[in-house]
Amino acid sequence: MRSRAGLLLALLALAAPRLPAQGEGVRRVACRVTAVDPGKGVLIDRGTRDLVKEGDAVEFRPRGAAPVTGRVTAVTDRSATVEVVGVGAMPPTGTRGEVLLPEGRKAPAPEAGGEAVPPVPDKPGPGGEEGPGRTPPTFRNQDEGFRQGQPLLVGMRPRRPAERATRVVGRGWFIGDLVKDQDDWDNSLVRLGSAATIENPFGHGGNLGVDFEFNYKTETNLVRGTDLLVRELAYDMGGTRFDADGFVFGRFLQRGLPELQYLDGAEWIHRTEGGDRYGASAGFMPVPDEDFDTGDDFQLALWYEWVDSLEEELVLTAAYQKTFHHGNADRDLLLAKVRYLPRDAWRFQGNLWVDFYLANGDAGKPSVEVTEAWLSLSRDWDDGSGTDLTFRHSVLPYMQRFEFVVPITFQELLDSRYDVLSLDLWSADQGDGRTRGTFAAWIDEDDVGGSAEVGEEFARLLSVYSTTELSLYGNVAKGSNGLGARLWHRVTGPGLNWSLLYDFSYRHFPSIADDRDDLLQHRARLTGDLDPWGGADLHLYGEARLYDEELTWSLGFYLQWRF
Amino acid sequence: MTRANRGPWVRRLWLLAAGLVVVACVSGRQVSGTLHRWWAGLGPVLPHESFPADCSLCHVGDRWNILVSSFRFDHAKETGVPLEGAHAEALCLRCHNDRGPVAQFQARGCGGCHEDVHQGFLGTRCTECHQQETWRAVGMIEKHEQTRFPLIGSHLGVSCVRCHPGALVGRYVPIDARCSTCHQRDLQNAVNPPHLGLGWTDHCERCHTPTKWEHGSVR
Repeated sequence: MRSRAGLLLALLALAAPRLPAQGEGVRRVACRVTAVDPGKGVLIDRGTRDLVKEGDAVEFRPRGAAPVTGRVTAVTDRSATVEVVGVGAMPPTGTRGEVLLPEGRKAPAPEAGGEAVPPVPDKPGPGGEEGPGRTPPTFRNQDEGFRQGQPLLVGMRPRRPAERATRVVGRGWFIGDLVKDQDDWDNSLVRLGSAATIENPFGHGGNLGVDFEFNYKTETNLVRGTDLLVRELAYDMGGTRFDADGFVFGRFLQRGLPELQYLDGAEWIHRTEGGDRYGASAGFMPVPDEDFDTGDDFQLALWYEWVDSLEEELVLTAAYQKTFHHGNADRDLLLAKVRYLPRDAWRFQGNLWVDFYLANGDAGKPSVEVTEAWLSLSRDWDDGSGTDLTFRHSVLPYMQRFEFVVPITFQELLDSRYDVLSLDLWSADQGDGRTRGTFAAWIDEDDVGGSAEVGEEFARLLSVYSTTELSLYGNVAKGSNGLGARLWHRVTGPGLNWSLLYDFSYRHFPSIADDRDDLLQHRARLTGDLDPWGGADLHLYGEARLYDEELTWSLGFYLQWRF
Repeated sequence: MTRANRGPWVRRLWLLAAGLVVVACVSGRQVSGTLHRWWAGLGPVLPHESFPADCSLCHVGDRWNILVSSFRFDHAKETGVPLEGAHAEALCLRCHNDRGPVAQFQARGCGGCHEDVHQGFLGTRCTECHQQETWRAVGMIEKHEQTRFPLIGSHLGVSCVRCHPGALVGRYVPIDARCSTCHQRDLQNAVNPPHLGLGWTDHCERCHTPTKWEHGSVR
């Protein structure tokens, strides 16, 4: 019995990794698991050139698991096989670790000369081919910053954009909505489009961006029919890590500040070494509606963006945009942006659109007005909970009037406004559930109102892959008050996701005759998402709506593919 | 030029654009490669100095532009940034490219890589409306419950662009909530009684519900 125990101890001693002797210093050499062989152990990216020897101890630190120790059982020049010791799980590929080497272990002295470099190869054989047993020639391309002994790709000069071949990346979409209202098919539509970037199309390193779509709408703004909408047809040059200056021309959403809207013109952007950016643009602004007609409004813009560091935790931006309508001075807009995005702290972001009325303000005096504002204070916590407080201010909301039907009065323009303050709260429950609430208050030129909605999300309530969400909501809106409940069941499965939503609400219209001032509204929606082929997503839906004894429905699809 | 008189050339442009879509898709598939395939024309865009010295971990031996079939890169584990939806299928170079350090753009949120097509008017919490699989926005009817104009009755089936003319170019700004803003034609066509002649151009809710115009009753 004693002899067996002794034998076992001896075997354990042999199997144990060789730790540096007590009192001897340890040098830790970082390594990484490059392959796993369940029968033998793992392979690491360190070898004899790193002074690793058989028997050396290795410590692995898998993410989310206890450290694992191992022992080197075989060594090559650049790799070593490590046998895991004990009951720890096999560390997966990519796991970082350290080889423990005795401090005193030295590299063997070179046989000749003072520098430890690989031996200079013999002359290549006939025809330049390497003969058997001969070492490859020394790599001597000093221009690339390569030094003998380094991995080949270290310090290699990346190809510049102009040196690359042309390629196309982007996406396409095909969308259809069939909407059956009470008496007609109004609101049905079809859209077919693509947004793509053609990289280096002309050999200068630039990118050609296109974004367009055809749509057929049965009725929009009194006109039926097809339309071509070109959102982008622009050529970008520079603006990469190799070129601090960027230049774009054509039709595009302004690159530096999208808040300055679309442009038929040109924009220049410069990035400083400290990360600040500034730029200027000039051109015509397409009218931001479905026609996107251009040529009426010309703009000039200048902007500067300051960053606190390359991490861009705090970013302050100011822009000035001067607009001319049919050649006459029209709008002086100052745009201010703040973005404070620290990690694990409160975040603040805000956009302000400030209009200067230099000579045509109230009573002909210069004045200043904040015409649009969006301010947000938010916080996300590690446990999945968070909050967001947003204030939105808007004057001159979009008014679509025809001159000879309902003209807009000057007083209406002066009075029109819409301000909203909303608070969102959400928290993650145990079991992957989620509780959320949204509370909002609004005020416009005539009324005051608000809304509240609370919801609870239950994960795996009906099946392992399902999420069920129950929401209750109420609102005091313009011309109506409402109370409702919504049940939304979503199922995620291999190759197919589907969901079913049912929404029931009660509406009350205070200003309508008593016999018709109440309405019950039902809405049911069934959706399915599938991947018809690689890189494509297909969304299908059907919706039925029942209100006031009227039944309407919609069917539709949304196909998007990436290329 | 208004949309009404664009007919003839718009149809030709239909064909042209459809052709462009096909060409773009086909040519894109030919040259862009598949997931995780390294395209030789790009060259080593990424600095490799922090990569494992064993090149065969990622590359096949005879063609450097092809990654080994067993190549897996756990983005969440290695970088702390999980890739979901379309991001998980995107070519590495869509993000790791000439623009500069990805971490710098990622710190800005979605807007770091995606241009803000809403032009700053809708904030930066993109995932409130968008998922990561497609650009399709979800829950718009539900979102309207939190505004001054919940979608009731006939408005439930109305396309966004009908009330938000800038919707097709990403511009969703508040609109005047009065009925006549969107119902110009209905107002023009209302001849019994003649609404315009009688000056009935406002406060439609006194007679009409949001379910059907024909249900109007004079109070």
